[in-house]
Amino acid sequence: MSNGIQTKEGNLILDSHKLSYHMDRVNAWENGERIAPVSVDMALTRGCGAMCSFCYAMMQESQNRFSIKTSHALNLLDDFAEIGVRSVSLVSDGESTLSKAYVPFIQHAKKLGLDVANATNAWDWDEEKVDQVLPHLTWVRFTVATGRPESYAAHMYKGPEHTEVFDRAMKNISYAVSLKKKLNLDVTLGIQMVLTPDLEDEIIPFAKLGLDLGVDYAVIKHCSDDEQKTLGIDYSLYEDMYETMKTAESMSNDVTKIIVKWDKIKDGDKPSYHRHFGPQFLLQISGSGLIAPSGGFFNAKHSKLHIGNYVEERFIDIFKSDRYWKAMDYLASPFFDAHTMMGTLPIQHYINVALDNHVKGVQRLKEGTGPKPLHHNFL
Amino acid sequence: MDIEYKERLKANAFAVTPKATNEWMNLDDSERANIIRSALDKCNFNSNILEFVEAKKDGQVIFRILNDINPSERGELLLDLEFVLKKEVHDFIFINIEPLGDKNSLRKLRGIDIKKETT
Repeated sequence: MSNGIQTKEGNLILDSHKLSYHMDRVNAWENGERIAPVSVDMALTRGCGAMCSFCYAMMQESQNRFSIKTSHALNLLDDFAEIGVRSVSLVSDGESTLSKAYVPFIQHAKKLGLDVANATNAWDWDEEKVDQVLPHLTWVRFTVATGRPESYAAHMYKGPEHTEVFDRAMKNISYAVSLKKKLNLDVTLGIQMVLTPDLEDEIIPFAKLGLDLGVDYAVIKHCSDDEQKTLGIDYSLYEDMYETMKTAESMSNDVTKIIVKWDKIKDGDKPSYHRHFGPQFLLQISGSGLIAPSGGFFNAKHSKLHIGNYVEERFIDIFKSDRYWKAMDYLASPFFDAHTMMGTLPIQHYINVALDNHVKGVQRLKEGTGPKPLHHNFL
Repeated sequence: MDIEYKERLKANAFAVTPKATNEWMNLDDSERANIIRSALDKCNFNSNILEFVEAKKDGQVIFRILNDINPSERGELLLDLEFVLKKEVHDFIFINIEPLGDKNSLRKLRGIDIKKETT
């Protein structure tokens, strides 16, 4: 796995994991203790104003959507702090900036000592909102499907004529970049392209856009798919784009790093592991309030792995329940096969690889030495 | 250090998931369904909550949820049922529920339908 990219602000690891900086949890897990997740990846809503062609949330519909009120979200954070969660990211399943709980959630997380981050399309991330949250965030990653207005609008909205969504996103991202500079904030700002095999022509324009915006990085990642291949991603086609991706990487400058998630792209739909150990360290929570170990199990199809909903009961009670551990133990048992029973390249992929290698004795994890990488609490 | 647990983790990491036998795969749909139905009859299966839909060649047994089951209950209920079927029929049996499509009206315009079959 890669060691990260050196930036002016520190070592940036996007194409690997940071388990070495949480060996207390790794050792406790290996001793059979019921560990709290290091990171939680979640959304405050299932709603979203975009219609991205590559969106995995399309496959994540569970039975019911509960309305998450600010009080639910803040209680959730209190419970995270109580059990020892170290970071929370508003990423998966919905556009959290649309939730009324968004600003208070970020401010409360920081107050509790949790590192907090956000991925967004930035369409509804106006200056007032940015002013209220940016000083509290560790990183913000903007979903930017492509580098050109028309193709961006075609892949993220109703059609190529709707370039107003591109303009709005660029305006808001640019404001965040300028505010970071003005206030000398520690926050890392990046844009992300979810690469599908039909988008090769968009790779270089995307890299150029990253440079033009002056964000800290522009990352190119694979597209995940479910086990039925609903999105129809053919991972064998990524290899044809390797040279273009290398060219994009070579465009990096002192301000902006162009990064390709090579490990995930090359692993594709053939992971080295069969068990799904990762959710015990990196838990996902749906924008419907549903708690299931991983986003790939939010769909009603995987109801046997649905553990509870924090709108209906406190997260801490769910975490301490036997049902939480029954689901986690199932994923770590021989009855679960990551090759056939879940989607490709889940958010826990890197830590699944590392934990699998660790317990097999292929490559034991070691305590991280030297300066901690950027965002070390986000696995 | 809990050596026994550590060894179990290692054994699990290397273990091969039970796969459907040729005998099971050679049965026709109704024969597989009858085997599952008779196993369900034996275990006081609550047909007011769940309806058996299909038993696939790969060992997957599909159910339909008839009445909404609270998220705090449905996972455990289904995992327990899976373990009963593993014991009564074969350890390669695993349970899934019929998938649900996206409810977002905008995203639905993409026309993506959740596939029910693994390709």
